[in-house]
Amino acid sequence: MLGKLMKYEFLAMGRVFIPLFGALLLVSIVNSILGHFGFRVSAGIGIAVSVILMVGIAVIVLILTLQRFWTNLLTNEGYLMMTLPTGPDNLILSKLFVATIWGFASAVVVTVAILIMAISDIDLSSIHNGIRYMFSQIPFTSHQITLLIFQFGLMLVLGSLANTLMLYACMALSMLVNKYRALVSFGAFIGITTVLQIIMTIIMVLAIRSHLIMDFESYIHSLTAFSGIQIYTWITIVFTAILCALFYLVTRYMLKRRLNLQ
Amino acid sequence: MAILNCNELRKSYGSKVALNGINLTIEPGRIVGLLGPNGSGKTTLIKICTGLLTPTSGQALINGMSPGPETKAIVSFLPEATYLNSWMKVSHMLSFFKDFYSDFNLDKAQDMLRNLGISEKDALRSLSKGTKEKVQLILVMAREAKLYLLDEPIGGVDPAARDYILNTIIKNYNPDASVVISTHLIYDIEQVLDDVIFLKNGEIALSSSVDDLRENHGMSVDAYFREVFRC
Amino acid sequence: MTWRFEPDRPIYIQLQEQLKLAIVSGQYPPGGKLPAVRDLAEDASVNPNTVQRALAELEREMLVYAQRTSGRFVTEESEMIEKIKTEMALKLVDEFVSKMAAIGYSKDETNAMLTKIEEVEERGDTQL
Repeated sequence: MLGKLMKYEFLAMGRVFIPLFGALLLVSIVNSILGHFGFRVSAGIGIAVSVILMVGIAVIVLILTLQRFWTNLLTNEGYLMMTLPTGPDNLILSKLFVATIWGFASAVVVTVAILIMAISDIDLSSIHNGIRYMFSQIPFTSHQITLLIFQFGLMLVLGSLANTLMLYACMALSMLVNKYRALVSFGAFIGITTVLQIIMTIIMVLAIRSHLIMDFESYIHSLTAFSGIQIYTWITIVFTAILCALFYLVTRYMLKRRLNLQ
Repeated sequence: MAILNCNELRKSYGSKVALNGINLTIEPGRIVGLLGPNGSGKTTLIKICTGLLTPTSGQALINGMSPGPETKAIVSFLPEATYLNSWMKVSHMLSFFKDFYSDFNLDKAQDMLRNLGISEKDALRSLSKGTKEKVQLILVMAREAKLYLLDEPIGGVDPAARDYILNTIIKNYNPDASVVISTHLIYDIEQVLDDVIFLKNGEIALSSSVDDLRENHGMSVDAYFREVFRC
Repeated sequence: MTWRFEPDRPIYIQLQEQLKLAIVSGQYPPGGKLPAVRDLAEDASVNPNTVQRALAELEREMLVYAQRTSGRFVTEESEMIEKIKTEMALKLVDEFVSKMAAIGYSKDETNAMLTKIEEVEERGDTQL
């Protein structure tokens, strides 16, 4: 059932993203060819275009993520989707996974597009050398680097899932009211981000102020740089995973118990 | 076993009581009219049976099961609202139903669409409101479900469309399945019904077979309804 | 076949009456096959269970018999149909006579009126 739901979700989002990606790559290729023939844009304009592209695609990813959940599950289309022979888990997960996949695909495509545009300006071998130099300066073994890359990847994925799930939870919370649902969702978003900020600030303050933590810090200082990074990484990963679970459960509860389509 | 069984079903939205202790049983092979003025709880009752709403207390059992994925697989639901607004084509919708409902009879649906001259290539968004409603009805009735829940299928449609809907219901009659039709337009529909259930302020005011009611009161269900609900 | 249902009586009874009329008038001849329940229901736009009930009543009256696999048939006994026909005729006459009585015609006067109408019709005239 999850597979079938994801199939239709892929199609629904793909019909926006595929032409968009195509257009983006086409424009960057044309731009790069023009560059070969001496139609150079200044570096400033190139950077500006790249930034606009990144922001633009990020906004489209955000809007589509919101729209697919809101329109498909919480408005009239919900009558179709919420009466399919499946539970809320498959509905939420299909949307979550597909939105995440398209999000990452967008990041890859934008990177590729920017590289293509810049291809005539940069020397590929210098990038290669630069990366080699960077790795040679890191005081870790290759095993440790592999682990760190894995952890940063995990943090990136979990962070992205947590963000999407937070948006879902905010939208699902609007089922508590009959009017001004969009406004309530936005209110929930402001509320949740504020609470998260406060919690993080409290943790930071505690970490600095508390003598216990001071001991903890001196404990960290006694460790190697790698072990120090490990502790922070794992704390972040666990914290993000808890957020994911929390937002997921809120969304699930709202869809299962408090659904109120109009 | 009864196809639908409601037991002391209650639903309130905050302080507003929508259903106040509904008890009813629907046997296989019946076409049942769920009648009552707007706000009497018809839609709430249907939504609970589809699993879209959770009751405040009591239970609704479909084929002996609480609403969930298993009951959704045997319940075919026509909501009052049209949900066909997307970019999808009619043909996409057919494969969507085929994918998700193992009881969906694709040939039957295609046949019904052809009879109405609706092209499978049309985008849902481009269809008129009336055509959307017909496509939705076709999708719902082309399933070989155990329980059909039709919420106000004849409200706001023209007489020809209404006849089409009623004929479709008769044509698809199956002695193993039951149909529940909610409506406040009784006159048009009463000769299609086996039984009627009158809802009033979230309670069952009367439950009877159509012929018994006509025999006992010497008037049509419609006339009787007007008497019961006179303002 | 056109079906008409009055709102104040059970539909199965009206269906039964109209099917009876079709049999007596020869629309469904003796020994002839009746349409399937589903087709009758569709044709009359009524609930299939109601059709089933009306047919069951006709079966009880021995006007119709069911064959397990091939459906329902009109009885082959013409006397049976004649008997029903007579019953229906008697009922109509009874109704007619009492209605005439209600507007002040005695039985003899009613009879005279019938003869007169017959003569007029034979002449092809429209005036009494």
